[in-house]
Amino acid sequence: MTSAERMTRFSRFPWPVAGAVVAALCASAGAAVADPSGTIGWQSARAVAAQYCFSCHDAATRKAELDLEALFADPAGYPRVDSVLRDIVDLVDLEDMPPLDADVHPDLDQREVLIGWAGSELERLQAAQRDDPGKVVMPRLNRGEYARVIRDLTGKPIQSALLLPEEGGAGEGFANVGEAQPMTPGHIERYLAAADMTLRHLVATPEGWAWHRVVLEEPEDRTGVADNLFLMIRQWHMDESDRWRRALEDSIPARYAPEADPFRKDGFLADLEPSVGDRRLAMIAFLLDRARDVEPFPVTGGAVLTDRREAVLPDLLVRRVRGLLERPGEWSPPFYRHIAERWRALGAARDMPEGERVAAMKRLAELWYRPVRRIWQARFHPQYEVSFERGDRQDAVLESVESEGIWPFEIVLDGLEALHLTTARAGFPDSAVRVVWEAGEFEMGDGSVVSWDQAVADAAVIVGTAEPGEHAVIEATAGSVVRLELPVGAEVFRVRARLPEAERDAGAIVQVLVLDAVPQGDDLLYYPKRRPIIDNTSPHATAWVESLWSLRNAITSEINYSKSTIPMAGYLPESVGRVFGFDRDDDPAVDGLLDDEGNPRIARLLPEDLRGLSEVDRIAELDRLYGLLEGLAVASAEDPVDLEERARAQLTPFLEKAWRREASAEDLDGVMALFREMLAKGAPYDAAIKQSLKVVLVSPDFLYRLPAESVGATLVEATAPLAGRDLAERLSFALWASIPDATLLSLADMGRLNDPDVLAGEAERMLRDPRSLALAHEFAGRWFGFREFSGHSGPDEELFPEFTRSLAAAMEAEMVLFFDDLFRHDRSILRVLDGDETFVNAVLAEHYGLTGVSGSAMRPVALDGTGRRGIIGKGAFLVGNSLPMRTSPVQRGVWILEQVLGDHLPAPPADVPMLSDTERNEEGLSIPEQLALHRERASCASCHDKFDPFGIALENFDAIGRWRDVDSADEPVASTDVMPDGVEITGPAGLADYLMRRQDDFIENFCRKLVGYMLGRTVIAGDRDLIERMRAGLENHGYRPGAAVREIVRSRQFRFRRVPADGSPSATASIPEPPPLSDPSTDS
Amino acid sequence: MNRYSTPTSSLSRRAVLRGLGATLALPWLESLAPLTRLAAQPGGITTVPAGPPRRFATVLFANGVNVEHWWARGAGDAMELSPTLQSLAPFRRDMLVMNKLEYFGDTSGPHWPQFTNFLSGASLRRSTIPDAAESVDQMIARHVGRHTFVPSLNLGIEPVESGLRLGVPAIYYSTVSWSAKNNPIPPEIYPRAAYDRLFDVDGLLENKSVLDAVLSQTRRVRRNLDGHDRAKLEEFSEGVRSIEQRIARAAADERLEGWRPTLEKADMDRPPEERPQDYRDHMKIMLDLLVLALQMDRTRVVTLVMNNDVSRQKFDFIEGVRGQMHGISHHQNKADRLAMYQKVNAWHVEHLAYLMERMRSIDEGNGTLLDNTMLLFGSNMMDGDIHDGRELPLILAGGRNCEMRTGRVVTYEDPAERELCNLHLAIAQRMGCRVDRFGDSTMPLPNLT
Repeated sequence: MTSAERMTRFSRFPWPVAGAVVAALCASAGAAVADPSGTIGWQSARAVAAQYCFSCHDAATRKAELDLEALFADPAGYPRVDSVLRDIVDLVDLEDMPPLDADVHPDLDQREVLIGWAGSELERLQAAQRDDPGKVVMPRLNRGEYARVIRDLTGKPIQSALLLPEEGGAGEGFANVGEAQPMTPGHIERYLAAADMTLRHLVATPEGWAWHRVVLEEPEDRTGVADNLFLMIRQWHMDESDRWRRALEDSIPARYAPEADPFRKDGFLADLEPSVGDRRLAMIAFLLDRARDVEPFPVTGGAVLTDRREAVLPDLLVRRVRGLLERPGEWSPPFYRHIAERWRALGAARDMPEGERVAAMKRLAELWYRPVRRIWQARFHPQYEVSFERGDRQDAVLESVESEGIWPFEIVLDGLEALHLTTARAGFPDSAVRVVWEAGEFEMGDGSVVSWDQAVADAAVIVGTAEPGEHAVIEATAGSVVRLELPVGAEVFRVRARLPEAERDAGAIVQVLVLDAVPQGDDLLYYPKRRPIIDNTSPHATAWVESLWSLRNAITSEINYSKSTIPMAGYLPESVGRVFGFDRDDDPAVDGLLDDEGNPRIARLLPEDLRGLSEVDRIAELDRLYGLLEGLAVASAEDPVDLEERARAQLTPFLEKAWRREASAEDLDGVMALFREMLAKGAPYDAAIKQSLKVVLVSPDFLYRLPAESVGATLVEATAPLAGRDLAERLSFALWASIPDATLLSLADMGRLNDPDVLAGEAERMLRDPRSLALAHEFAGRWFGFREFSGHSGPDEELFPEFTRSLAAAMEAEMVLFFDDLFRHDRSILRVLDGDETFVNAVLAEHYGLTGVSGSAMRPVALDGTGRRGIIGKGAFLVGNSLPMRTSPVQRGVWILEQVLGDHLPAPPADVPMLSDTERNEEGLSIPEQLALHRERASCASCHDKFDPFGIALENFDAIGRWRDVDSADEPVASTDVMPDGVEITGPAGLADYLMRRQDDFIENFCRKLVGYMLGRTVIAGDRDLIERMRAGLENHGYRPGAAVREIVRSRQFRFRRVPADGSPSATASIPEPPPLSDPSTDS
Repeated sequence: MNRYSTPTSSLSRRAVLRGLGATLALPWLESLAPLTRLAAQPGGITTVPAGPPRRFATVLFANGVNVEHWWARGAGDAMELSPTLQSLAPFRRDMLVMNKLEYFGDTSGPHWPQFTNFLSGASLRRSTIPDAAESVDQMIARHVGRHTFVPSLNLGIEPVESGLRLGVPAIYYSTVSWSAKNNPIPPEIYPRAAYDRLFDVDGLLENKSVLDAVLSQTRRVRRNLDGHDRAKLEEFSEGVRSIEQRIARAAADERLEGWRPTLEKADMDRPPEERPQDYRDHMKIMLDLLVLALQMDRTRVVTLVMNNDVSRQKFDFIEGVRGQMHGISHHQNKADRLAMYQKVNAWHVEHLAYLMERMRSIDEGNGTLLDNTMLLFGSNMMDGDIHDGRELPLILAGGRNCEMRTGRVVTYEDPAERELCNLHLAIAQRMGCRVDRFGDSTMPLPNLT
């Protein structure tokens, strides 16, 4: 056999593209002439099978859970299962079956008889089921969908879905297969709990509702409602700061790598959709990045620079500063007025040479910058800590924090009786979260110093978890408060807080406060204006400090923040106190920044999660909150409103959005009954509304994707087109794992979705929308199994201390971003096989041996020349398929064969010889050497030959995914092996090349998985045409996944549904059988 | 938890009961007099004492045992115990070591055909849709669950994985409890959620009118559905109704048996929201919850999966043990690995000892909680190295008041007796289920009484 022939044989049977299938179909065509009923084919095939197959695959032995005897029992009676038929064609043709070590083997003719029969049976099956919508039982909201739907309903990232149980996979491996989703009482209880949790984020008043992203106390009365609103207003301000920080920390570098010129036409940002963004943030984003290497203030001479990007910049910056300064009368600090005047004078000095003028501006800017820096530092002075009220130790403290990661506190007690050591999380979801309070001592009135041992022993944990350690140390968890009784006569208390060693490299950021009063609920949240405690040696911390300084350099706090008292008077009892907000006030800066052409360009650079959150919306949100507060204050018992009317008006739109349909009077009456009942019992409005909402969130209309219209029972099973809203819902759950948006719904209501072109157009729009991130999580994440990799703890901790939680998190993020990029920007799916771009942050970059990446944020990088290509070079795959103490070429190889190429292997026998736990066995043999021995046994080789070479090629990546040239015994890594088809594979790059040669298999697998995911069911024989169309679509469109999605969306499978015959809900559980073959007894 | 706590929770019990009306009547009446009728049932049940109820708990660890060190000989105080079972020495009179039971009876093949069906004996085929059979704990819960606040409690330690694993739903590796042919029950791994499920009566009561409304809404929707969608909705309605029944019982809070649990109020704090990071802490809190649930009669059926099948759990905290559970179980007869395997087994057995100790210390009048509980402990395989499904390592702890004659080692040599489902059947009958068959049972397991 030539190697060309060998190659084609690797294109597996499923669809008629490979040589093997052509042969099979010819055989069946030939048989059809002489054997119109198929009986002869069946008889001869059965004879062959009986001779060679039944000894293992009969009812008694059922090897590989397969009973071929039953398949052949009756030419018409046994439901033909397409996967079994496919396996027959495939495995017999490849001579994988009967296995090498079988006693007897069929000859070529016999094999063709068997293949021919199975091939023609498969054809019959495919013809009978062609484009059958298949059995799709209405799915229930799974955990991921629930989270997204709640997000889309409330506009807030509410985490209530965490209370729901995880869904097992089914069908093609996904969590949205209705048939496999049980609904036990336990499930219903969890949905009740999730509804409770969701509703705790709501404040409802007759004037309106406000959703909030943190949990609120359930209000007892109007004051409680007001308290919550007040809290939300405060949170709004915190969010503003937070958003700013996030812009810095997370998103910008990812979208905005210094080495990538975003203005280049082919730059990776070039295809971002321009959108109306937040111009302030755009400006900040833009400046921050540029400011990094332009010290101290980003003004440099424009004329002398040649690089286009930089040539643009200084000009912008000069204009920005001009914009800021040339507004007369707006600068209240005299200092600014002074600078502004000088600047204006410079601007007016038209006869000054450009170089000189820029230099003068730069000097001026530096002059401006220095005091600004001082002000900025002062701003960072923690406002509420007791320890800093005294002021003069501030610099020493800052130094200690920055250089050693230790917070020293010194508190003059002034007659206080108790203090509260408070530990708060600083906002990073993955940051861990313990703090050690140590070296506490009291300075007594007589000047003596007393250790705090006794106080520690007596300390009381009021909130959260904390415990005394050895040597009078308190170990506290974020979210905890420890109350410390002060000894009589103590005048000064000193204590130090630091992160425990173990937390340091995890990128922990925690905030510590010493307070005199017991902090209330939300004081335990991280407050952005207070300084966090960080470990200065970690890259995480470096990035944090670095970016803060860049921020400071670019934007002065004075310009962008102003402290003000948030007006509460009249709404709140005095006891709630006053609150200071930090308002952003950089309008002058923004207005001076860019022209009409520049703004959209900047908007394109805006981090995606900030787009769509336009400034207008956020201000409107604040206005609305004030409005509610005002309404509450104005409303009084003497001024009765028709609460019921209000409630109905508020519940209707929510119910319609949640139930994805119009509300009937009956629907509303049912929900309103609870509201009435609650009010009658004297419950406040908020509680009554929530009781009604709970019904909305636990009703089947919310939890299930109910068909909007019944087609009515039919006598025989039939198909019917999906109604408009049903189709909209199917599409949005397929692409967003959530509910449709307004655009999609209005198209549905106009009946336009029935037009496949419109439907496909919508699919394209939705893929571009950030919500298509769901595909990375729910589709790719489950296909390739990297969901929750961030919690992976496989590698042995002693051998691989480098495998930290932040590294695992970065590896998962890499996968998510890679697939999100693939779908949202419609990039070739072949990148999965050999793509040489990926996403990393500093931690992962270092792990991969890449340089020039700093910060915790993920950003795109090129992998040229690293030998790391495609999914096979990604950490989550390499580590996830290693053993604690070594790599596993077998697991890696099997994974590639099954997950990437879609092949299926029989389960290995249990009693196979095992490889050693570590890289060398007792005889000193390496894993590849042990495998080679293993493969000398024919029964092992039949499978191992297919995947060992993959795993061996990847031996250059160690068990935690680092590149290596030598193994742990300092021997050069052997990463060359030969496939059964004679192709030699060397190293990861060689494997990527090889996989590209088998791209047909991968594409086939991709199509099957996508069909299974988007339809929520197993792929059936009748999907063959659809998959063929998808393949063709992919080939014609540069393998962009959008083409495959469009084919599915246009298909009958997607746009129709089966209507089962009445009264037989379960009789239709299996796929319809093909027209029966004629009865052999009447045929002869 | 700060719950809004005026109107609903201050409802009088009577009002709640009135509101429940017809849905309640049937099962409630049925439950009034089941015990007397039981006397006539086959299966050796003669009398059911009016004292404390019987309970059934399953505590299972996957991946088999080091065969050489799993044995017991002799009877009563003279019973000799292997090193692995050594920690059970104080309980020799309280346990029945059962040899040679099996439900898979094979050593070939992968893991999945012999774990999730431990309590059902179902024969599994490769399928991407969960497909097995109702497990015995759930069948018992269906019968006796109506007497308690929670019908059954299903606990686990390791999370359920999502997606498919080795070609079958990943949940096959995490649960042994199935409420129906296609309904595996994901175990609860969060202590707080389990605790709330057992004790959060107020939360449950608040849901009463919500569930009523949901049920009417469900009836309206149902008209519109056809075929299997309608069946799905039926499943949903049944679930809602069963919670409503629980609410009715919680509201009534009256014990018809005339017996009261020895503990009225939980003597354990509500656990923190997070999952304990340390496996050992997690295990302990789950065992404590198990005891508390049974002691307070919040449920009579508990299942705890100590380790998932093909477990990735590491046991590095045991001196001399390294690597993941599954890896250790494939010992290839190497001395060092066999030693680790044995240590892990012994660790699991120590937790059985802990459970027995706790349960034996609770006096329920006619005996201890242990005497009133049939506690099935063991693994789904014998030798994990060869996936040996024959002759499972099983111990039935406790149950002296449940017609179990403990303090013995029983070996089932007769292949006809050997079916594990025979044991399930015997237990189910002792729990009051009127059944004469379960799974592939051939008879109620003999030689227990």
